[in-house]
Amino acid sequence: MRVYSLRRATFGALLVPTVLAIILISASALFAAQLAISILRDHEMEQEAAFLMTLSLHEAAEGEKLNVIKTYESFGLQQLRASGAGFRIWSNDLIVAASGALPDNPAPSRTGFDEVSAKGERWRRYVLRHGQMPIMVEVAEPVGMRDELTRRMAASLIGPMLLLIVAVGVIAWWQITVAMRPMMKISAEIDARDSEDLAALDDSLIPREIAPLVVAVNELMARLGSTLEREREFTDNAAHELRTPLAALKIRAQLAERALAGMPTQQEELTQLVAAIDRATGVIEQVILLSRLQGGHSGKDDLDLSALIEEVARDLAPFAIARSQQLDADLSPGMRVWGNADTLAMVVRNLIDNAIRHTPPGGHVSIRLAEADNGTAKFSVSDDGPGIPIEKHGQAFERFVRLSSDEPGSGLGLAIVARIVALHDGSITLGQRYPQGLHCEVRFPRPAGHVNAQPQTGVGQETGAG
Amino acid sequence: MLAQAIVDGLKPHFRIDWVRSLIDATAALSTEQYDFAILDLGLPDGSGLDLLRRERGRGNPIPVLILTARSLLDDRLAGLNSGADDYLVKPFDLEELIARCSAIMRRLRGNPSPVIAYRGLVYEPASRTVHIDGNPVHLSARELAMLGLLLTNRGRIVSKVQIENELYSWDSEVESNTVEVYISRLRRKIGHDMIVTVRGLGYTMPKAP
Repeated sequence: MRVYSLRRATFGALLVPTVLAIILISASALFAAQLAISILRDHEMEQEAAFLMTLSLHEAAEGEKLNVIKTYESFGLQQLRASGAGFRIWSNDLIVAASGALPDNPAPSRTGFDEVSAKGERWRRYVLRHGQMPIMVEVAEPVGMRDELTRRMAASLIGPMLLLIVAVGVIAWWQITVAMRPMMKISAEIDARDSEDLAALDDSLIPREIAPLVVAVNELMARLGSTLEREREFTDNAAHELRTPLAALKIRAQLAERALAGMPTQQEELTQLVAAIDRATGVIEQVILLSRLQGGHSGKDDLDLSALIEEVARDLAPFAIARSQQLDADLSPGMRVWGNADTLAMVVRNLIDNAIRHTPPGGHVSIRLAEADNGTAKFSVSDDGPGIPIEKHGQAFERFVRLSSDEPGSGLGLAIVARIVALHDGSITLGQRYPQGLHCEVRFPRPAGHVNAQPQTGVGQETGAG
Repeated sequence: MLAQAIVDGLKPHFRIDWVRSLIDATAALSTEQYDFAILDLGLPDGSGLDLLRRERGRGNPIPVLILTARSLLDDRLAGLNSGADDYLVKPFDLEELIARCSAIMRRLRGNPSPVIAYRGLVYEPASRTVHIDGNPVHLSARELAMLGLLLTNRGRIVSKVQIENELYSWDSEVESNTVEVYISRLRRKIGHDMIVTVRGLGYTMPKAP
């Protein structure tokens, strides 16, 4: 994905032409100024030359010898002419008068304006020759003087122009940010959603330009929602439809088992078949419950987690006894959580059932429920079976991943457990026990007002030997 | 499919009529006199619960055993509220179904407590006697009540609270360790390994060794 910032693009689209326009205006202003300065200075040099010529003719008429003439120059002009500017008056090939630091050039050969190089710089020169008399006036000034004038103008322009650019930039950025805010809000809203939330986006205040996008997204959400709903209904129906044939299959298998009385090997086959049917039914029940919980068809209640765990544990304890395992429970009474009883019972059933199934005969399974330090309800099941290697703990929650092929199971269990726990805003962690075994811990947030609630009558505080 | 299997399974023990819809069921119930009914909640022309409510509304006292699915907890509760006598969760054991049906029949004949035999122990609730390997064992009323509770729930875990409730009907004061005291007394009389303690959950008489 190529990402670009709409804000930056808009900002650029606004600022780049502005800067270009300012540069263009400044350049054209400076060009005009340079032209004006050039015309004005040339005009002045012509005036100067004409004045000097008139003066020279006057002096020549009076028979006086021309000499150095003092010129009056303002301080400013002197500053400008620091590099030297001045004139020379020629009679034939002789300099009769000179002023300023004019280059020591030979007498000019032609009249009018031209540029010459001398003393390492360029000079602008104007030469005026008298029609009848052999008098020639030469006025010159360095080209750099005119450039200096232009530079000063440019310098006085740069400050305000830069200020203008900064001001345009700041105002534009601010305005764009304000205009973008609804988009950012929508983006943040989508970002903050979990995958279950398909509600329409808030379209109370959106720019016209992105309104079609918001409408399209909302329509997509609605379509996704109905697709998901159909999907869930299908899962639900399919699972429902499977349940009755499975129940029939089970009865049939048991009828066959009875019919095979006296043939223990064949009977054992059918016992295995019944166990397989029970597992299949268990998976279907899980799928139905999960699809209902996700579809929001199963509501949540304030329920007694202690009683729920005790009921499930009592239901499963006979299986542990049948496997000669030691099963014990220590359940803090009266722990209430906000949840869905059916699915929470499934979580508890799955974890205890897993522990019993993966613990060898004679092993231990411990069930605990206590209030954790942070006030959450902490439910844990630990066993001393083979456990799950630490590197596979993350994998254990993936759907249909089976970590061992020794024990029967669909592999759906832990994935569903994790999903249900997540739907209850809880957390689940797996741990290693020493020297061996698995410790599975689930934490559920408790509804406000029930944390530190008074325990009810003591349930299951039995400590007698088994 | 399920119904056919149930009919085949129950045939050796009961005489059975099988109908497949609410209409047929209503017709059958109004023309024949049945001892009890097994009702699947999901019928092609409606919910079995509607039929049950209608029959109860008409004052029909026929015992009804409901067949339902585990995820339909609400239906289950609604079933009991609408007058069902018992329910079974699909898929169930054939043996369990026969046992439940037999229990309904026993109640109908006014003999709710049959003789219970358990690993050499024979308990007759009617005469309130207990024999182990043919030898009579003398138990107090409270011990008998507790044994009865454990035996009728054999294979299941009986919680301390359930036992306390049973004892309350004999003793107005139940100390915190009363249950333990009676359990150990009972164990002394019928054999220590007959009752298994499940720490934190309760006691059980396991079904299979």
